[in-house]
Amino acid sequence: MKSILSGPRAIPLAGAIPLAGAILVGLAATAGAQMPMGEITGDAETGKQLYYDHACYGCHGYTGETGHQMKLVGSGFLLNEQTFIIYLRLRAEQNPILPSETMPNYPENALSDNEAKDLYAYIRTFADNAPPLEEIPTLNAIIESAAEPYSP
Amino acid sequence: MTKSTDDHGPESGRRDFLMSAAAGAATGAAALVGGASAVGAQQPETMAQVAEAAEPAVVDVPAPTEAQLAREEGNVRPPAVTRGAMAPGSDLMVDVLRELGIEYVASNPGSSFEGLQESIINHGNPPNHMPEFITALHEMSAVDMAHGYAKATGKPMVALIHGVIGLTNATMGIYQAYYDRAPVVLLVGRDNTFIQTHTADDIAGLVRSFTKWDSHPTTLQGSFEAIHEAYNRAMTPPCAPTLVVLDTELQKEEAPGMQIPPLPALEVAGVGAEQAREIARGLLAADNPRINVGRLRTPEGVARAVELAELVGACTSSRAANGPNSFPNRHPLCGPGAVGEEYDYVLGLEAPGEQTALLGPHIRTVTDRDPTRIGLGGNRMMGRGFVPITPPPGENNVDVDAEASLAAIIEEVRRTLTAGTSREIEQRSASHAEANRAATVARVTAAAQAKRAGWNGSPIATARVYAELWPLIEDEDWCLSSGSRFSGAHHADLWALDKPYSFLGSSGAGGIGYGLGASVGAALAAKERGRFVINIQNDGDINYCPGALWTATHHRLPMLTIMHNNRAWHQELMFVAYMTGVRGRGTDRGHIGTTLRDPYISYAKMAEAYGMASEGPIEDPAELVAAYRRGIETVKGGEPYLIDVITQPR
Repeated sequence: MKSILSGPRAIPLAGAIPLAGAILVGLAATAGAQMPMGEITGDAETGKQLYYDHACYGCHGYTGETGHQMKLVGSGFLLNEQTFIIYLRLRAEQNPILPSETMPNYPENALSDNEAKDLYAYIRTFADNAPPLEEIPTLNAIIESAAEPYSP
Repeated sequence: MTKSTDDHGPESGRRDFLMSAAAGAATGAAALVGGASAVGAQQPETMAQVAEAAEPAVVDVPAPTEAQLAREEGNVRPPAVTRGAMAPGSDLMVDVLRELGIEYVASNPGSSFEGLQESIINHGNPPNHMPEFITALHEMSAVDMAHGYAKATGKPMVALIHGVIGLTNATMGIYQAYYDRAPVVLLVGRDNTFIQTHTADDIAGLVRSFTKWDSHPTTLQGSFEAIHEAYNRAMTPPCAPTLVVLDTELQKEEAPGMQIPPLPALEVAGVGAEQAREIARGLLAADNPRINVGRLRTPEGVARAVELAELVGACTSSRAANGPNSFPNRHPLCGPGAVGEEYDYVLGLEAPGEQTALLGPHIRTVTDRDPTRIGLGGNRMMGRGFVPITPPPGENNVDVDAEASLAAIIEEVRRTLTAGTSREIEQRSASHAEANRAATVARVTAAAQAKRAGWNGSPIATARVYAELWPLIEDEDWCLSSGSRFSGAHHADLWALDKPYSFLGSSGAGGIGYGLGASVGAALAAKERGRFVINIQNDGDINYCPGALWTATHHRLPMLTIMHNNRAWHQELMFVAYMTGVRGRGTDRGHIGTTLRDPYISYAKMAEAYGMASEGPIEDPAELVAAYRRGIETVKGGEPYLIDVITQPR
């Protein structure tokens, strides 16, 4: 059986549907594009709890900023509720299409459409809270330190 | 000299085990913890179970003697008459350790080395110094301490371990040190006349697959020679733990007038004269030579590598972000250099090199000690900080220790260096320095941009945990002691790693529980050397052997522990979460068995319970710097400190 990953965590590829792959690849291809984001119908407060309960924070941090950062702008998967749900479902129901061992799959019996929308609503609250570099003295001190002459 | 047999053959060994089992269950073991009344209450039922399980040999089991039971219960009175003058063999063993420069012996006390322990704490002037007895609360901690110390200094300290049960506890630490090529000397006490479940005919066999060499001497003279050899073999590449079994009677044997033998020289082979000439010629003839530097054995090797790079004006690579004893990563020659990557002579020092790669023998070559293939199996996957240990195929690989080769290469370079070449090298070095400095600033600036993410968030971003430390320590002498992979490894992007001990790397075999013990070992090294240790401590890891906190407090060690408290075994949380998704059976239950919640663990209180100054949990990143300042002030004053920080998962 062919495997989509190499190594011990390889996933059987049998059953993968080319169309699903094409959709996901298409979504991925939108990354980087500046497209308007879709409507939000879910409840962000409920989504916040789901984000925690389903261990999304595990990889994306509690605010989507650390680890595997969630970048709202330019992400095809996060473009709107439907792309988000398709992303979750296709990974779950057609076997994982993209070679990832860090992103779980979320079938409907694990996360309903409405819950996915709530989760999406919470994710959309994520903002880029990173201060500009010039406003972080510590990081500037680190850069200055790198420029200093070598003195072991 | 190694004992191949003793008084106990297989049959008698079986009887002894049963005797001990019977005694342990019926009287001895219960008495150990419960006292006489507990023994009486348990005896009939337990004896019946033991007899049933052990038929038919149990009929031969003698009861333990009163003396044995009394000793195990600690009810042994000193003899009425004591000897005023003694010359025990264990005093001479301590002399051997002293001559070897062993600073510390870490140990959890056991009933098979009281002779040696007494000599360590009482023999010599001053007593309990070179070596000093370090009290460990678990044998794995003792070995982890020796492991961390070895990486911080490039030389062994001793872990003194009680027979079978102590060694069994120590196995995890030994296994990791083996993979990490750490020179550790293990002394294992054996009392063949006492508790039979604590001894074995071949105690070293328990860990033979992941130790480099062992010996069970039967004479005092043999024991001195064995300790010498254990030290030298541990220090000879491939560096690894070695083990000497010391019978308790040997430790107590009187040795009036006996002298310890002279210390045999430690000899590590390097390249021959002709090869050294070839390498020197290649480096000097090249327009743009490069030296790739992997992990060398000792700080002296690092100094030699720097000397060679400076002599020939070669830019270098470094693995200082992965572990100890590599090239200083902010040295002006460290980086891609001025002429880009068009290198016309590349020398590898324990690293790949296109023209010549000096790669010392790996522990995988010690095949005859590993019938289980436990060591060989792991070596297929890992080595020096998760780099595949199999060197890239190349006809120019030379199977010889790089560090031991450097003196001859340097000598050849110095011998053939001309004034004209020196001028070229000087100019090239200046160009490299300028280019590398610019590259470093660009790399650090890009990293700083990336580390802004989540800067003000709570829980605290791991990048900020590392970043806020740097301005406070950059002018100090410090050592980052524990593995950093699970806390983001931000030191690699943000800090200068310019000392051989700047970063000690990971556990070697990926096992958890190493970080705290290794940090205590690094702090033992730091204590007399005017530096302090920074231990960014994973919460999952600390819970294996938290007693090492007490060791740090008791021995007044300069160790600043900063908790990476993400309240989970986070890698496993991600793996299980992933599997729940793949199987579609409830992604909301991935936390079961992978998280440390309900209740949360207070590491500040844990440290406090072990007598260590502490604070936290800190959830507001704005509070970090003040806490760090308090911590650094404390450790610079010679006391450990712990700061509990609630962090993002990664």
